[in-house]
Amino acid sequence: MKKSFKRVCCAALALSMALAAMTGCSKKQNSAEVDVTAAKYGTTYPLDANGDSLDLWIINSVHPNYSSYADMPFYQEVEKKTGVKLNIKGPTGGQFEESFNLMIASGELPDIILYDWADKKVAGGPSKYIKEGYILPLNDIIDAYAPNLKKCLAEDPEIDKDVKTDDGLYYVFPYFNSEQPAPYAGPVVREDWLEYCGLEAPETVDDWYNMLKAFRDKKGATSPLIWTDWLFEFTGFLSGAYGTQQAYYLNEEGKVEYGPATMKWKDYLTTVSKWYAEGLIDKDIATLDSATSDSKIVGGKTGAFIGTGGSIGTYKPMLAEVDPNAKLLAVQEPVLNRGETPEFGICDNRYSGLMSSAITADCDNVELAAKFLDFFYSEEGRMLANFGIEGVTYNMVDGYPKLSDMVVNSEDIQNTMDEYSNSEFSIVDPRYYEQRMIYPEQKYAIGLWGKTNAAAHKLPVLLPTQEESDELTKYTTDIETYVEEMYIKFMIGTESLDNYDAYLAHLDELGMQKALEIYNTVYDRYKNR
Amino acid sequence: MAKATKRTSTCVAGRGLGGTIKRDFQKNKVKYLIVALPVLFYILFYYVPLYGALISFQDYSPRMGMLGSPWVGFKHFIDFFKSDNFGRIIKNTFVLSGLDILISFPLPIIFAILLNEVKNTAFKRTIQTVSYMPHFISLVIACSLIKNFCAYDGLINGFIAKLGFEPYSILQDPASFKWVYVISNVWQEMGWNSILFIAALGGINEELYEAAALDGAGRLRQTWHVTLPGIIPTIMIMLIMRVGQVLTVGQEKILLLYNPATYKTADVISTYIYRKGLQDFDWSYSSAVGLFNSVVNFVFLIAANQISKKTTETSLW
Repeated sequence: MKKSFKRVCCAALALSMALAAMTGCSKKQNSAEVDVTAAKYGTTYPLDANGDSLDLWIINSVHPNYSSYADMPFYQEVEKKTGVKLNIKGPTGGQFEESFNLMIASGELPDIILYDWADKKVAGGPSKYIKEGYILPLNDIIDAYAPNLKKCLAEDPEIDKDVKTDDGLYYVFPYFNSEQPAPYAGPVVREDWLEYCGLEAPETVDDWYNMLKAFRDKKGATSPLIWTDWLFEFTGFLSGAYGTQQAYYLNEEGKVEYGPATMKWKDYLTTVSKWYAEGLIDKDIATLDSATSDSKIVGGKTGAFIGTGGSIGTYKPMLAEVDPNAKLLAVQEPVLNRGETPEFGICDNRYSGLMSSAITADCDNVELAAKFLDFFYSEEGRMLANFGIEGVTYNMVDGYPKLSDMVVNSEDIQNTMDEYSNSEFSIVDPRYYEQRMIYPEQKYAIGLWGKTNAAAHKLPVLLPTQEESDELTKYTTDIETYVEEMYIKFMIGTESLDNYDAYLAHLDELGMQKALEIYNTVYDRYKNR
Repeated sequence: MAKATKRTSTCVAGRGLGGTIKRDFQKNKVKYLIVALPVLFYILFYYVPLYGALISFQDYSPRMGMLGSPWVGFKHFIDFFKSDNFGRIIKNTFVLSGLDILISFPLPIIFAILLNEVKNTAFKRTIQTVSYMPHFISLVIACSLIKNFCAYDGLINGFIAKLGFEPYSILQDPASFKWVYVISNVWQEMGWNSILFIAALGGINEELYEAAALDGAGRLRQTWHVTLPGIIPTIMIMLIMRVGQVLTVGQEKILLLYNPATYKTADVISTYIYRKGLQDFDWSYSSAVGLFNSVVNFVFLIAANQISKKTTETSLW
């Protein structure tokens, strides 16, 4: 339930839809035929743009230290390096979904849109948006104007397979990791509490149970274990021990499976409901927001939580103020038998389908847009996107881009870097992330959380066709609502696990099998790309 | 204005409608000018967007526009009626809304009448101001207060434990949700909603009370026979308007307070529209649900108005 509260201005939406309806039909329907022969901007950066400009819509909000995108050092540097004048718009207050939809509904498209194109929130997927004439297929454009991206894709067939549609169309200038990204979240416990209770770092489910009981009884913890939903869902904490996760994933037979529709999920529920009943999990678990859980963690009411590398860095100084002895320790995902490797854990795809730039059908200067975006796949562009401005945010030391003291000593490294860089235009360089983790606990955590078999279960970015997508939405929304509801009820005991069979039967009534069928079809198609 | 038109039309009956309007316009130029702006406002912002409701009969895509999107008839309505949660969200909407009308509606009236009896002006003003203070607390903050109070180790459970009962996570309990919703509504809006009734009470002729007192009526009798009849028209108008909103419950508040554990009693039409329309971007579908919502509200409004007309001779039209 990461549905954070979003204020909805229905009137504005209705009005803009009405306006869109009036203007929508006058737009060109399909601009797939692009003249790629004319090239007038040259091939070296800065481009010979003669003052021509591009309109961008990006998913990132303006950095809080600045009043507009144009004031941010990163975009100023980008304009200088590419020679292109930029007019950037974006969401306010982080409400990018509403903002994107209002833009789409308004019918006024900029030249370039940086958005989560392959995410399920873009209903119908990129194919639909190409077909209905929102964005351009990029194959010819990349051939003609984007030699840097073309080279990157040629050298990396794995990524090349992932960043196009099943029909082989490129739809974005993709944002991806140059190697398998490090895991960023997992279970964290209070090391000083472990020592106090005379316990080792927990490994098995039983270890966890004993530890949480010790925290409850010996440390007086009122909420020994706590989590916020989305992290929990992503990491598959505890459910992983039973070989499942609250997600669609690949099972042992290489088929797509939905965790909460399996019998393994019942084993997990049995354990978690026992823990809840014994007061080992926060009593208000379904209503927790991050502010409340933060205060419980810092306030010493909680001894174990699902955290990120970043949150270890945030809690460490806060905890030190309350309790100088407090120590945080990352531990592995629980397993059933000692010595096993956890099956699930957080694991990101190299290409996640998120935050990539598409060129819209309304763009009347495709060459400039393509060449502008291609800059970020050049050596110079990749350095700028990842590390910012040389001499300000980083210095080259023996061929290694070392973050400057100004950045490392700032209160929040990521926040400072956001002023000077934005890797979402480019390829993520792992050399940045390894420098972002400043505490040894963080580096240890990232290393430990990575030791799982999660990659074998992870689905790549799948692109259902429009019909499949329509059908999927029909089933999955109701399924997910029902699963969330029943999950909490089984856990807190308002629904008896004796009714698990009835629960599974109702899932099938909601179209569970049909949804899985579609997922498997789409996955098979992916395999045959 | 209607009266003005009538009067002129009777004296120039022979010249036809066009002439009538022309004459009337010349006569009441300023009045027409004054009314033009609000009329324009309503046409632009209330009537023009109405045609957007047509997308509920389409598979709407903004890019293809309303003229280009395929028509699908009642498909979305049928999908909604057949959907798994249809019965539940309709029931929840009526239960929450009904309880709200039953409890949050009369309380401001009683509060206003009680306050009216207070003779110390300073005391009366202070109480009044304090009582509508919660109305000005931002909803997000009000809801985090509610969450805090209702937590397992929160204020309310403190009382429950003191009374010797077992504390429980109130917001995770489906049976408690409606009471949290209604009671917090009373807390937030009672003072604010009483303003109109206090104003209406001020309009009652003092002589009526004196006459009643002469006839030997006590305080209670006076309230029953003078005060209540005096504000009945206001009460009825407010009630009709409230009933006309029967399917419209505090969507934002529910979104902030509900969670999967309480979907069973807290999921209502508007939260469903929110999830479908703005999280799944199923615009046509959520328009269909929204249209259904409006039609039901409209039916209730008419019904309430007719009933009120018959029984109390007060009505909106």
